[in-house]
Amino acid sequence: MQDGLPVCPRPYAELAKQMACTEKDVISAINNLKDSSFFRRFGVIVKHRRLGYDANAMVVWDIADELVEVVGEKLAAEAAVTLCYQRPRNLPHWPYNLFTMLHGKERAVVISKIDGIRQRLGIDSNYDVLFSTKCFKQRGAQYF
Amino acid sequence: MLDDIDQKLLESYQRDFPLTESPYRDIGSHLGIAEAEVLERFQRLQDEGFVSRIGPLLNHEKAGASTLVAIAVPEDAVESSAQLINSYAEVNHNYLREHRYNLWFVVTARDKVRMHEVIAEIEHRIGIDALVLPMEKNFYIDLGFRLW
Repeated sequence: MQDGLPVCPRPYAELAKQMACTEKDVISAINNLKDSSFFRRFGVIVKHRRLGYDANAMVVWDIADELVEVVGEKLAAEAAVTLCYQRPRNLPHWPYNLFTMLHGKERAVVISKIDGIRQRLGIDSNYDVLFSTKCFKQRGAQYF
Repeated sequence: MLDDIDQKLLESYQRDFPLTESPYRDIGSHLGIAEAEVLERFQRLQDEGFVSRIGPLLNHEKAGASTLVAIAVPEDAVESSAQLINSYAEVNHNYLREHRYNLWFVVTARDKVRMHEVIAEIEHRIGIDALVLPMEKNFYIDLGFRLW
């Protein structure tokens, strides 16, 4: 399934053939996996870079533990933010506990968006911006 | 070049791709074009690298054991370290970032034991300790990527 849905008139029937079950089985399995949130979503997965979204920044924040919930929810609601996770600090090497991702076509635009977010939300905590400069690997995970 | 219909195909079906017998025909009826044209366009968007696939984005927390890992390698060791990291089937993302911690990758395995085994092996073979940064809480609800 992670190779993607075949591009043909009856793609679920095609998958069913490979899995020795029925088209209905495949469709209801996908529905179940969505409903139980094993799938975050099911659909077209675009390649940001190919579409000109070259400026990809991971912005990491050192937010006080008692505020991380509130700030996390506010950051996640920002239009420019496409991921927002809390992760453990790793002191003394790594002080940051909130991770967000921002994409844009140009670096300057992404940086000004970060500044805008900091001002709007009144975040004065330490943060760092890590632009990605190369993608060595990007594909669906293999579990089995 | 991408026209309006391409843009709609890229943007509108990231989250709720039809789970029907003939999903491409249903997309076509919605956009007012023939099924054959939808198929032709999706094939082209994939061939030209705009679409990586039509399928699931997994919630790694539920489907297995997964974590983000960062490692600070010297500049002249970046390429060889990245290849070493890539050689593991359990690594599904691996990026170079502008920071002292310059290689950032995601390890996803069937269980935590295997996940930590892979990380320990990578640390040992590169000779540098890594930061292991598993997700503790997700604040973001994924609605797909807004393009235009």
